[in-house]
Amino acid sequence: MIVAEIKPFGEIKDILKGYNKVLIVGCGTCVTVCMSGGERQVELLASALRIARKIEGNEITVGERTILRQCDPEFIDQIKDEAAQYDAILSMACGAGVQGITERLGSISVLPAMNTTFIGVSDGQGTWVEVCTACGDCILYKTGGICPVARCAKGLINGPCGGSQSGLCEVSKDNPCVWQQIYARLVKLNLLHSLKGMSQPKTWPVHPRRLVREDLRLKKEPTKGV
Amino acid sequence: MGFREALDSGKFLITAEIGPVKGTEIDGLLEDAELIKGKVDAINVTDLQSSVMRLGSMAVCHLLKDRVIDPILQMTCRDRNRLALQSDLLSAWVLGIRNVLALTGDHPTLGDHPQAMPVFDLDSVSLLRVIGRLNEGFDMQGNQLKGAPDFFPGAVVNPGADTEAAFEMQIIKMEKKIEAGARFFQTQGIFDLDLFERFIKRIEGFKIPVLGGVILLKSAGMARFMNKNVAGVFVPESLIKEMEETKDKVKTSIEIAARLIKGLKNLCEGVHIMAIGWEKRIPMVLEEAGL
Amino acid sequence: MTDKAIPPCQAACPIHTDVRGYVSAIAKGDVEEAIRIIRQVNPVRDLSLNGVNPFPSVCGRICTRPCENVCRRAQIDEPISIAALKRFAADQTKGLKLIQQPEHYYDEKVAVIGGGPAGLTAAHDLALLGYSVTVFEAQNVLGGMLSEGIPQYRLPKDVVKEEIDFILSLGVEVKTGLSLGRDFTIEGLLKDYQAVFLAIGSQKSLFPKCNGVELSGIITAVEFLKQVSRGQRPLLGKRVVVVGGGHTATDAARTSLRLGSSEVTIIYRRTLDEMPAGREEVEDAEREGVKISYLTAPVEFLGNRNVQKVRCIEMRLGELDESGRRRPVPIENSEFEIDADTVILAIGYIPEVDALKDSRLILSKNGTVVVKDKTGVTNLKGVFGGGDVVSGPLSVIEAIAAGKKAADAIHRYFYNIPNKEFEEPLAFRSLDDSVVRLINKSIRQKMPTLPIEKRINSFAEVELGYNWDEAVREAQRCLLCGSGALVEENCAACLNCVRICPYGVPVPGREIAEIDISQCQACGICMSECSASAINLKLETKEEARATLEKVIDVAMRETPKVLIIGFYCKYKLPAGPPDGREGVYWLGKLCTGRLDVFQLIYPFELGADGVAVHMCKNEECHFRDGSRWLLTHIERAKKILDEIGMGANRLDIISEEDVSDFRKRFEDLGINPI
Repeated sequence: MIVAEIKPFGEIKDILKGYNKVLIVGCGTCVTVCMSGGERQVELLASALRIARKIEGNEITVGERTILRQCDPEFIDQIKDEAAQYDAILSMACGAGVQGITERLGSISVLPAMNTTFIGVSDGQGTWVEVCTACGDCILYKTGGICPVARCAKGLINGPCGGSQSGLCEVSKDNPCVWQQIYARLVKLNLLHSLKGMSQPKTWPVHPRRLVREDLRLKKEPTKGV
Repeated sequence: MGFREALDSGKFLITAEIGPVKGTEIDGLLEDAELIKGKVDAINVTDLQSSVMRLGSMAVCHLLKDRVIDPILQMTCRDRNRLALQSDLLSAWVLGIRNVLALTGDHPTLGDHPQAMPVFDLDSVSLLRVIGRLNEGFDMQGNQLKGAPDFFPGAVVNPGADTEAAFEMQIIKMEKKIEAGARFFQTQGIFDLDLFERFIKRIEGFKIPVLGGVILLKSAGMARFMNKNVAGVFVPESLIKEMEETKDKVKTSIEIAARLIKGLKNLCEGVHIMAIGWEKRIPMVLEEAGL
Repeated sequence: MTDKAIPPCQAACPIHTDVRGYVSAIAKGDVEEAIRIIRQVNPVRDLSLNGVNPFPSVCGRICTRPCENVCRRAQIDEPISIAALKRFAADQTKGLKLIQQPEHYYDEKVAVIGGGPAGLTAAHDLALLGYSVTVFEAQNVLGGMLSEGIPQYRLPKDVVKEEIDFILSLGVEVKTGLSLGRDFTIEGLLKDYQAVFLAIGSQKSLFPKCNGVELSGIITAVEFLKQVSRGQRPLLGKRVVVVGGGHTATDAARTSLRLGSSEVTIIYRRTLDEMPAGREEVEDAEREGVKISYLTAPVEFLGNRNVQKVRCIEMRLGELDESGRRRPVPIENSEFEIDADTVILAIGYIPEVDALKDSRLILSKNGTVVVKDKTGVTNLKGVFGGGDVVSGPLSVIEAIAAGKKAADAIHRYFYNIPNKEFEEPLAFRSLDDSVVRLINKSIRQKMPTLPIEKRINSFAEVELGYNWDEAVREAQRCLLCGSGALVEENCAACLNCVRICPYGVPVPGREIAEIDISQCQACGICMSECSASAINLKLETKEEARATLEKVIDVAMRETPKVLIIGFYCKYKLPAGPPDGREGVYWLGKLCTGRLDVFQLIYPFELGADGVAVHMCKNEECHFRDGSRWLLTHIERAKKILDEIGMGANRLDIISEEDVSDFRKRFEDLGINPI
């Protein structure tokens, strides 16, 4: 899932300066799961904004909507008519969601309320960890299913830097050295040999990436004679 | 006799390390170098040590070369992508630099520009491989070079890795580095010779020259700090006590370093002295060690 | 399956009273709501009068409480005192006029024969449905066994009268002193009435087949209790032997004590476990001085003219009989004698067969009226039967249920409405051990009773009823089965509920989180933390919580206080109401404040509040688990938001018992000015 966190309130308030009718749009998928941009947060942010602007003597009208996904135009269409009544949309989705709405509803400002942080997994209640960078060239088969690209501070793919202490990363003592985790895992799986041999430097992706699956698309013209 | 030749000769190797200043005042640095010139086989010049922005390693290496000191260019993967790394290597060669020590490098967050983008496009293993390819006359994409360098590449290893997994991974990575072309290893500072001996036994089969790291202890406090904060460094309590009880810290420090060097002489092919500001005292250490 | 299930108490009740509904109303301190749930037709809840009980004061005292037998609280400690709470609700709302009127008036007239609980309940329901009803009662008073069978110390006359008066106030006509068979016939009634409900009860006593049963001094319990209820004081002598094991036996024994007999013995041929009177009733009798001789049966009554001794034989329990109880078998040569001045027989009853013998009704060999199905349809068109005359002697609540079914059936009969499928409701399954372990124990509130010495000299009511504090505390023991969390379809399956539920109830489902409503304890913590706002608590939905808050603030605004402070407190912790220092504070009670989410702490400010106070329980005091800790978490988050939006974190404050009195001053000292 994509993990995101809500921006500091002050920043959101600054972003909305000059707008008096704003529709906050929550996203019902990743950011709801990571508890930052779902219906509950929309309700809370809306109320907080109304109070804050009232205190400033500059009242704001805030609408509240949450759609299942902001990364699919069909869902965005569900708010099309409503959005037309506002000066701006404050999206509580990841960056993809913000741009999803921007693309679909061209004529209205779409502003981000969130900072998109990473692709991650849940690590117990209220905790998420980054585990994938979407590098586009998966090497997890070599590393016991634990990704050093995402989980080593330096993204080293040929072993640790040697800076760990007591099994913890030199960059942040909150993180274990992923290479030691990989080692332990491979020992457990009796697959230590998969570390042998040099991993070639990665081919870094070119942004923006686009995935076109011709096999999924309707053929344009039937081929003659087939 | 350059470092490479010294190594080939089979003599007990001595290297020292100096760190460039933050700024352009280089007189002190060169003075230190002059002092140890002739007493060491090469001088390592660090590459933005501890991720602190400072004068570059290549320029200082070049200045050492001018003073007929064989420099070892330390090159980390932190700040340059593969284009810059290869280009800098070629630049170093034309400036007369012959030895390169390939390292991963510290993370920028540990330094004075923590917001910087960490590059790590290559790692130390792939950097060694790149050096090898350049020596062969090709860049890493296989494009032919017009004139090729002939670097003597080295790498580092941390024999004091503190967990089994960390230690084993050091060995695995060391093997990869050898495979990628490393011709010598310099190690993290060693204070416990028994532990080091165990490491040496473990890598016997690699048949690769190792220069054991020697850090000059300045005080008991420094020892404790390193134990807590520097990966792979473990100063035994007996040495800390010695530093604590001595009236002449410099003398004791030199004695300890000399003792360690004597010990290392029986275990590996050389020593790499990290004086950390006490470069001027390196000759005394060597004298005390009988080198 | 589970979504159709109802609380076990409601499922076990013959009329499926919404027990949880009225108990939770009492738990919230809303006794009017409680009585409405018990006795008022709720068009939203149920149009069919199902669950409406015209006899709450009566049932609150003498119900056999099948509900309590299945109460899941017993898995933790003891069942909820459900009947006592019903009595509390009824007693506390005496005089409250709950006006109910039929939606339509129909032309059909219904005759009800028998003014006992079955007949009167049918009359009540039919009147509410819009029919003209006439009740024919053989005695001079209505109520049947309620008025003349159950002694006053258990069920005071005025309590019965009040409930009957209410039924009559619905427009029910009454003809007393008219006896079926003697004064009128069913066929005769059918000329004036389009349907007849026969509910004459089952009051004819059975006699043991023993020699000497005709001796003077041997009386039936029904006749005895009837006399006493009419104010007569039969002379019993010192020694009384009561034969039987039902409520009538214990009633007769305890009544004998009150009339001055000092040695009262009940002889019963089985053991306490089989005794229909029930353990509590037996214990009360024993406490008052009644002796009980179990596994004892009479074989002969001895005496000249007057009974003097009862010759008994000891029994043992043998094989199971058709009723599922072990059959008592006499032990040879174990005869013994008990002295007796009076013998009261309470061994069984059958309907007054004489009254029915001229009707063409089919009767069973026991004399009961045979009906086709549960609705009470007999072999005669337009004639329905119900209550003890059909079932043989059963409890009051069964009679009430029969009356309700008959009323419904008669209405359907008139308008050819097909019968409802009588589907026995499904009760929530028992609590899992893993959940039981985590529920705090809380013992049942003791029913205050008259001291023994005051009891045996009078017919004053023995059980005194709960006071407010006891009732609310008892009601708060209710697990509110099935009023917990429902997961709506917009659940994003974030699984936060799975991780935070203090009882470990939610589980990840195929698409969404699943919460087994039968296990949920309704603490609402998951609701307060659900990222998708997809969890709603049946007990108090998000919408209800929000509406209540808006209402309180609306009321407050109209009073234009100088400083408007909204206060939240836990009703479990403070059942008697909000803490002191309420001046300027508009309090809102919650059954646990742990589910007070961040929004509810911020929203008052949007509505115009100047401050929010939260009365905080200590964590170890939490009725549930973790409630206070979650509240604290929510308060911290809300305070951060208040700071960020320029409102100031100090506008939201926790108050504890110690500093509650100067709370308002504290707000003023903080220099809060209305926004």
